[in-house]
Amino acid sequence: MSKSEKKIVLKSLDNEAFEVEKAVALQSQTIWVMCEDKCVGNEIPLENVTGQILAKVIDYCKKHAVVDGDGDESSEELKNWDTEFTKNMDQSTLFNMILAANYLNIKSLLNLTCQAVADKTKTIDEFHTFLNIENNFTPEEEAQICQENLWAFDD
Amino acid sequence: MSNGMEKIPDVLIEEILERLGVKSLVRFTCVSKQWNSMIKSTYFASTHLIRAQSRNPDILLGGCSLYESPRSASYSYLRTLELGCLISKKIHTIPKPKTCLAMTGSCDGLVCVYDFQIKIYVINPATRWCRSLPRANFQQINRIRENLTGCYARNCLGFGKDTVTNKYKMVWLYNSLELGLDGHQIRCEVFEFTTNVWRHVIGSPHRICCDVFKSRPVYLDGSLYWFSTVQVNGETMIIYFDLHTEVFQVMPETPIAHASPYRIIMCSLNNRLCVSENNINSQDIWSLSSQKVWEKTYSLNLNFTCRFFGDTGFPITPITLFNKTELLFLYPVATYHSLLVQDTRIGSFYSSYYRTYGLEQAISFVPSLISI
Repeated sequence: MSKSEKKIVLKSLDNEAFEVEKAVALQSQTIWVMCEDKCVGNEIPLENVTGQILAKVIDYCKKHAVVDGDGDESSEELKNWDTEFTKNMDQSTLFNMILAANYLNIKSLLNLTCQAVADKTKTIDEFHTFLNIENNFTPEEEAQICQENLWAFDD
Repeated sequence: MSNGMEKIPDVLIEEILERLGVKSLVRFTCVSKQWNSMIKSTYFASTHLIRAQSRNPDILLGGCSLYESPRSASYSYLRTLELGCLISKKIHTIPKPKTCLAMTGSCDGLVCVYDFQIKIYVINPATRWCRSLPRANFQQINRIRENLTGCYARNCLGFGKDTVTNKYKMVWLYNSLELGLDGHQIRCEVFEFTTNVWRHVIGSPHRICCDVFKSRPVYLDGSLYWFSTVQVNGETMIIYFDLHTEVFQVMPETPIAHASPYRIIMCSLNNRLCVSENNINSQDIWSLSSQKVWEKTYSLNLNFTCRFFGDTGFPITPITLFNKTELLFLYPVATYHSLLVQDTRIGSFYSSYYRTYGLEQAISFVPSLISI
């Protein structure tokens, strides 16, 4: 296999191109299927992911492609790396990472980012804002539901 | 740039919610009507349970006098404790009982709390959900006997799940003799939550040990386990009841068969049935592998506890394994039962992890959304 065949180019929504090792990119089931189908050339357009987010996804895949299958110590190291990876992401980046991980179908990244949101998001307001969820209770209904579970609101 | 204005698909919202703790979820029921009905659905409760099982459990504490102060109006027979946090919280789930209550082991985050004459509740300590249940025949006879003689039997209740039909059941196993009835019959009552009725099934072929803290059956993977009384040949057996077939059987071999019946204890750790024998300075824990072989899994150094509390003669009760290597125990000392932690890698105890006046029982439970 020639060197060029081992690399593929991922193109983001905003037309940013990333050249990566095939082994790195194939952690995405979506890309894997696209490559299998041979309906794309060496360049794969990813219409749902911005360059900023794709760069982070590729960072994640590179790290996980390298350490894959090694012993206990490296899995510990990988876990620490994962923690650092999501630690400083703001909520908006995290949600976009979840959407990207879902679209690209990378199970472990989806798991990591969902867990990070669950760990970071504590208040109802945060969920309302970031998930863009409309509160469709009447004030009376909302008060009643809160009343049923008062214990859960004391901190 | 894309931002929060984009709508996240419901399936991803579910992915995130599954990873939240029970308290947050209960709070988030007032986010929207959709969230309220999703969080309260049985489907969500079961997917959430699977995730919760891979994390550290919480601890339910019980005792006759677990009061803040004996005079305070707020009654706190039951308290919950999060591992890693030394402050326990009262839960006001059940009405104040007149007598001391006992608790079963937990199954899917549910626990039965009961006395030996009148009351039985099934509770979820994480959501504070509670259901009052009808009395067993055992309790009714016990009540009459207590009124006549002042004595009552203290056989412990068992609680678990038929893993074939996913139905929860309670099991009460006792000797008619202990209830002051004629004969040496071993009776067994089974309660099904769907019918809300107790019924009799064929009892165990052997008497079970009814030493107060040893007669509490251990639930694991569809079966309940008891110690038998010491047999004529000096052996203690393990008897188990399959909650689906409702048949009792005797386990062929156990490592504690010839141990002193006062120094052994049974529990489940890491989804394995465990038996343990106290040898004064150490306590070995054996666990049953999936190939049905007993393996010596942990050996606890009790020098620390002996030095501080003296040898009480009783085995210390393993409650749960957490953070992969740490074992939590209930150490029985007359007025101050303590929770202790031993790191299984280095074999040394940390100093008292949690102690409070009146603590008598402690069990681990998975914080879940399950109710029956």
